Amino acid sequence: MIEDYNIEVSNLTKRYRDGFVAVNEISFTVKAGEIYGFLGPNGAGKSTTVNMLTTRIQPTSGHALVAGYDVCTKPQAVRRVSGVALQEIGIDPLMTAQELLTLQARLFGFNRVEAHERSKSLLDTVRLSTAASKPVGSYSGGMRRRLDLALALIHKPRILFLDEPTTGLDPASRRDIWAEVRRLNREQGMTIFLTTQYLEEADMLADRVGIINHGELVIEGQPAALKAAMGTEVVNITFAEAYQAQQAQQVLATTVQQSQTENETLYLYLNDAASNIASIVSALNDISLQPQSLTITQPTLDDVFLKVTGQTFELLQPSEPS
Amino acid sequence: MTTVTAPLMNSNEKTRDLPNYVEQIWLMTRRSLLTLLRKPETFMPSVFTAIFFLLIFNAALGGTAAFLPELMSVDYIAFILPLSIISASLDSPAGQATIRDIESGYFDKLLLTPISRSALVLGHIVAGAIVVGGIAALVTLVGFFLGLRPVTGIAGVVMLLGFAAFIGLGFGGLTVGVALRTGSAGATQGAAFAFFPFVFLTTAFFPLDYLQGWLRLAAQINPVTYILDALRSLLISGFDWPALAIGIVASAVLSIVPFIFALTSLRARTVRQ
Repeated sequence: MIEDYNIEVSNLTKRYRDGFVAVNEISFTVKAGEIYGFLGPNGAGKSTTVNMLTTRIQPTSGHALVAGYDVCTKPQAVRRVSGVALQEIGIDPLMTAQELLTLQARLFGFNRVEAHERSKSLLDTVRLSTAASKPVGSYSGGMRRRLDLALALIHKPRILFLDEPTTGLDPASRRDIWAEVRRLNREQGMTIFLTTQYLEEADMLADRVGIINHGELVIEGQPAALKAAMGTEVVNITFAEAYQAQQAQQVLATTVQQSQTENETLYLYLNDAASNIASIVSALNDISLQPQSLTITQPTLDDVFLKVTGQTFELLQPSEPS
Repeated sequence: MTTVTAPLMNSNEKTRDLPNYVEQIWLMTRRSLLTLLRKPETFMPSVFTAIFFLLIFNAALGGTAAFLPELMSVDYIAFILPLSIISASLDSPAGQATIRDIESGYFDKLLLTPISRSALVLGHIVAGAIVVGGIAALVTLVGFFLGLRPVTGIAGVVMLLGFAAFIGLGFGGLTVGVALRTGSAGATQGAAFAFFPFVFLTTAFFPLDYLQGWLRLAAQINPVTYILDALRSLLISGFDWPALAIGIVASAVLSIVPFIFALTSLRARTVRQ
């Protein structure tokens, strides 16, 4: 079976001059028309990976093909097929949105009339038409992010790279970006490689996610499948002390399929939590362990992250916007 | 069974021709001019300095011309105006424009487009040269008010402005090179000042025959002397083709060397780490 891959990464590594390994031998593929969520905490290696895939920096070793073009030997071809919106938005504050978009279009080969029409259409799409003639320096963070997305889309790229597109945005602006990402993918079949530090974002948008931690790709798969592998429900039990959580885990090892601890909290992964609660509480009573709280939830990608890294994602992150 | 996924979107990256190299330079030059005009503080000090030099030198030294046989029949304003123009060209705004792009991150954004790297840099250099040419035009206009009457007429003035833009290319290349190399606004500003003394180690105020010792030697080996001679010939003695040819060669040296420096600095900056 031949799959049409838009991104093929094999043993990709980035080692900086000071010896720090930001990305360590990661391999993955992204199919045409797929939204791939690249999830990881701050400093995990997400941006370094995007920078290598978009030709900004050169890999130390390994290979990466974007739309079939090698990022090392065919960087110009990669730039022509890719749209890139980076975490740090680089826009000349003295220019207007209309001027920036028109220039970007001209640089990608649109003639003057086409460039003007394309800019106008994208300004409508990202709802910046009324501010199109104002200098970008006067824009809010959300407006700049939407303009950056429009700039990335100007040449109708085959693959769109979005590096933390919603970090620092208010909830309404985040929802706008999510809606636009979904629309681009569904209506235009655009392949989207999206990095994020928000579990919820990866869960909601991505067809598949890859979780990166300390430069290594620790797990990959469809969000639903990854969560299902944890069980259908999670019993979260919090104790006063961390050792109590570990003690409880040992006692309950025979009762539950999977469990893990993080500080004072014990997570039990079950397929039928309600019918097991009584026996769990009873087992804890037998060894005189008194939980401070007990809740039943659905498994999240955070549970998956805890399983593969030994830490909860939330503890590694600044608070996630709602 | 073989499964091939459906073709993608209406991607047209294979059929659309990219702009040619000259078009790329023009697009970047136009954009650079646009932003320079919105940030006049990057070049207005040069305008004031050039006009100030013209006024002060003419007022302070103009009277001495009467005592120098070589300048007796010459209007001193015609002798001193080229110095004012060259000093303005030293402060090309190209370097500061490059620094602004680096600081705003727009430079990196442009690197993600398929545009040629050298066109990206040349846009600011050419725009800076056009601004320098514009400043030279303003200074010349002030010169007219002070009594300047070039013997070569309008053609000579056009050539004079062409020279100014040509030198502006060179010093623009120098400041852009420093900007790319250091990423520092202070260092870029300093680069222009560092070359300022070269303007005065010339026949800036008096003809070569009146200079003595080390200053005479410095003036003889300084290419700016020959540019001054060429410009003065346009204003004072007519189309002196040998002097103009030497002036063009000296300007070319002053332009090409910094441009090579700018390109190597660009390579140093954009080498994909």
